[in-house]
Amino acid sequence: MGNIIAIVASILVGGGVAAATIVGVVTSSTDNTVENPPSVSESTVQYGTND
Amino acid sequence: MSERVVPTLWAGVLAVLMLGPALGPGFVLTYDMVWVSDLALTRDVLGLGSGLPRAVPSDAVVAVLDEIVPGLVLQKIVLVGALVLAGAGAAEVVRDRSLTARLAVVSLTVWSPYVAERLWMGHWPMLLAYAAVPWLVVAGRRWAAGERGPVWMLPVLLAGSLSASAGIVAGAVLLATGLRRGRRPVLLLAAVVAVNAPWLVSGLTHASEAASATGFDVFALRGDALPAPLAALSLAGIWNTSVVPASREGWAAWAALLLVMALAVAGLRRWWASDGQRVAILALWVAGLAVALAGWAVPEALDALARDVPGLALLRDSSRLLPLCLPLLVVTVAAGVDTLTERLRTTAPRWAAAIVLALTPVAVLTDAAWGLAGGIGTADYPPAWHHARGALGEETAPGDVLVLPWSAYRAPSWNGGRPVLDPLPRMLTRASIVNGDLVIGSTVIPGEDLRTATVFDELSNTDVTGQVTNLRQLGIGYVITDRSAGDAPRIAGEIVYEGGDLLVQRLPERDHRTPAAKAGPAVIGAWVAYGLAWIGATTSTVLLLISMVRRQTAKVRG
Repeated sequence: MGNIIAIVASILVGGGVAAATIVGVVTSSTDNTVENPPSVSESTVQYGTND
Repeated sequence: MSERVVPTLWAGVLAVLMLGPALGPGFVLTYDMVWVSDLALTRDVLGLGSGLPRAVPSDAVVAVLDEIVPGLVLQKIVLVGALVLAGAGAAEVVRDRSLTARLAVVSLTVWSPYVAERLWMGHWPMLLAYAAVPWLVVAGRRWAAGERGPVWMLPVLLAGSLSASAGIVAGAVLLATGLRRGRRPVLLLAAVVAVNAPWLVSGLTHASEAASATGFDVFALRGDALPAPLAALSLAGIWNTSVVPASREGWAAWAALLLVMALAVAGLRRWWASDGQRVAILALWVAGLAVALAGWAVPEALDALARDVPGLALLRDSSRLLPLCLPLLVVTVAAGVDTLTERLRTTAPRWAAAIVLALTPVAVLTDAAWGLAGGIGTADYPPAWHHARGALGEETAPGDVLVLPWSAYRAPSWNGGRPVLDPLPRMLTRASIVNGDLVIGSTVIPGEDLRTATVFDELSNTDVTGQVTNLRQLGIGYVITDRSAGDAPRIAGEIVYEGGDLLVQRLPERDHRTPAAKAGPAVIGAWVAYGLAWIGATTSTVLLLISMVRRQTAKVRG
């Protein structure tokens, strides 16, 4: 009985993390939220921001 | 050998998953990462120009190597190689641990906020230093044990020391783990000094400019979802919030920290009892964290101190040295994983634990995948850039090239609008003069090159003839203007090339003065020492390849 519970729990946890990773990676890759400067001809492009 | 295969393959999978579209055709141009197909070996590249030698010796190495391998291919090799070597090295440090533990540390090392943030920021020499750290721990361990240094030690040290900060990290790791009395300490010190000689000597010749470097508060460690000190524990906390993956701003950052800390604490006692290098590894972690936190805690004091201690400016981007903390994370997490998995008695839970531990670093930083979720990509230089380079290459008049508009960074449309350090200076075959001012939010960090300040004054000169004469006297012979990058002052010069958005002009030759190169016996000596180190590294690499081939041949023969 204990073994069966361990196997089921392992499948749930391992499978859950694997599925979450795949979904997360695919979503992040397809939902491109990176914002580039609005105007490429602005004379002063920032090196970065730290607000 | 075979026990290295699985962790190395896993590191390769993660590297490809992270880089994604960046491995496609074209150059990856992001912030400080600028590669061209054929970098010329100019005065600037050797650190002999008027500006601070920020890309010494990395640019010189690229300028030489791209004569053998095209710059485009070399960049891909560097990016993939850094990530794969980092992961494989982490597994090598904990070679005695279980496969689950080794796979977990591969994920932790490759899929780390440090890698994602520095990759986006374009700090490829730091990525190589990060990759070198675990290998140098292994090399130092063997050296301290009185064994002969591994043949790959010098090549790894060279690859990990391609900039000042990278050299500090790589040198500190090798010396901390390998330097012992009676264990050929002079030889080890000589190797570290030789591979760092170019930037050390070149930096000393620019000591007065370096003393004017400020901005410790701007470049200090920054917290994300975590307070800055906790972010540093996760190897995160870069100053530039534009290159922080979005997932670091939410609960995932806390989850990543809790997982790493739980495993590290679980493995601490076991690691302490089993590692002869424990004091050195702990000292490196303390040093890395202390530097990162100092920039965050007392930036004003460091700003003031840097005026009297020029070398201190190297620590301005204080989280850059966080790879010093990597060895402790790797060894304690691996020990923690083994402590945890040994309690699991049956196969299914062990497999589940292996999957969870290998995938969780990815699951909590999913937007580091596929070119940092679009943060980095590839681009081709417009044909006009190649034509301008060719036209300037045929010119015989003396003088450096003034690059306009007068700003350091660009966001060209052909690069998808991604910010990048102006690639034009690296595209050209002559030394150039550019504005070194850095604009960060509402703050402007002035560049340190004293010559640029004089040039800037001259650009606002309304006397056209006087302007050209004065620019010539400053050693400027040509002007290149990228009209797509914003407004630029008009300079009266003869057109050498005009095409696309580029305009190349030759200034009339009158009263031209060539600025004195900061070369001296010390600089020449530094490059000679560096060259000798490269010869040694090349010989080591050839010997390594021969021994690998012989081993394989012997195996086949049975």
